[in-house]
Amino acid sequence: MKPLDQDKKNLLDLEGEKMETPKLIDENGKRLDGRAIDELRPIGIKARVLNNADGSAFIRWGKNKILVAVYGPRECIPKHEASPYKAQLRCRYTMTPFCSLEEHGKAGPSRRSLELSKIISETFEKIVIAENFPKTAIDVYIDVLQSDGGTRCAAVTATSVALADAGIPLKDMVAAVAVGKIENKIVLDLSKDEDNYGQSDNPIAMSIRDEQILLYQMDGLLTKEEVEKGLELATDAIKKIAKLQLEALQEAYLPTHDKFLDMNIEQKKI
Amino acid sequence: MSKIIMPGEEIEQEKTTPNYSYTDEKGTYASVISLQTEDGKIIPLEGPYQPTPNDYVIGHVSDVKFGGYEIDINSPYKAFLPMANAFNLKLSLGDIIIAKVKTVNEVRDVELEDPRILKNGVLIRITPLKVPRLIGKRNSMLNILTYATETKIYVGKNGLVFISQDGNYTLAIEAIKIIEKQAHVQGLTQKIADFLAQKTNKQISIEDVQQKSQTVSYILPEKQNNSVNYYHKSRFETSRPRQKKSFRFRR
Repeated sequence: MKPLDQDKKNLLDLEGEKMETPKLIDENGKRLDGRAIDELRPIGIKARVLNNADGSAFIRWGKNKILVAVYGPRECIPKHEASPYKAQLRCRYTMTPFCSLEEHGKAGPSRRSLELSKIISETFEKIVIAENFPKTAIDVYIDVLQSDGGTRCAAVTATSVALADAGIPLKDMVAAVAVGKIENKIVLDLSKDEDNYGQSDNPIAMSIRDEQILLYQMDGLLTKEEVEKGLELATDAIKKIAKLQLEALQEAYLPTHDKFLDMNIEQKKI
Repeated sequence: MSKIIMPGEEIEQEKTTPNYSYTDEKGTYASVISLQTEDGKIIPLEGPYQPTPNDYVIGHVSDVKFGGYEIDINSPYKAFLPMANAFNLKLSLGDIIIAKVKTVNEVRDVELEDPRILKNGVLIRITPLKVPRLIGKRNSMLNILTYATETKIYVGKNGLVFISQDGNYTLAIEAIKIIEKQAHVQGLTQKIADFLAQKTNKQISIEDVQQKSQTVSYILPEKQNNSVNYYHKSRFETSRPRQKKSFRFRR
């Protein structure tokens, strides 16, 4: 088997294009947006933002803005999908047409959104205690309002908060972060440019208490040692994100909290 | 200090509410967002209503079927009120009733009995887990609310609250919204009493109100005069008047 880079070069030669890769890490070891190698983008989470949903959350992760709404458990329609043993968990991830400079379709599911809906549903299937609500469905609607790489990790983090806000029994909370390789270095939390021009992108979702890996996708190749190093970085970052999740849920019970979707919530650097 | 904890946080094994916790080999953990009090007690804060037998619930008629009525009870599951349990009431779509949960089976088919119609009022929804706070110790919170606003309030275990439109019902709604939002705050009954006293210019002391309204029921409205009489009357109305016997023979 040929190495992947060789393949890429051949393809580019055929099309007669040259890819200009920007310098992703400068001499001081800083990345494009001035972050260190093991630094997260600033994150802000607000729980309970929608009035008519059972649970909801809004996350602002770097330039990503994602809104998650949870409805249910409610009657499962169509009825043939209902199970007499457990509740069905149905996630629907969509990128709004205006969320980035690239075109994301006018409406309806695309290949990408179908894939992400599936993987997010499967991540939470192991976490939600669905046996408490037989014959019902729990619907999770994830809308990406603005995207800048790493939306699936942000979506998983926000969905966990929204499910907790809806009072759906969970075995554990979940948080996610991406680990990647750019310029032969393992870095944390890739942005869009680093994802596009980098060598590898690995979104990882973990449960917070017992650190079980619920999702690991690998785009590009890593060696065994690099995977281990990446996992170490991710576990540290996920513990930090979990603190923000708890703060967001606690904030929802303060008298100052109001159900209001504020696009410019405060972001914290952690 | 009491604090709010996330699902998955470890709690002491002895003092748990089994419905809202999760246990594995290593320990016991909260499974919903809950409040941990100073003495280690866990109070769940969010969650849908799970129908349980002998609960009085409020709902509306969402469908009329051959054998009875389908009632929406603000839960993942719709309840069924068989005609046999409600033969003295004539219900139509959208009627609000309060009824008792008779049975719930393992696939959550809910059967109701003892229905009574609620009329001339407004229905509001609160989180089902905050219903105990709305009722208070020995009905203290409801006693204050009804005394100050001069309304009748019926509370279903499923989180639906019916307020009659006699008195200042808008104030009652306002107060219930505050109770729902601050259910986890200590000393809430006094706070609400002060709030209502300020709005209505009445002097409200919790103990006096408690003594005055010992016999008030917040579950059952007065029995509607139906049973036997109504049954016979309706039969009388529907049956055709007897025709005079007339014998005519054609010739």
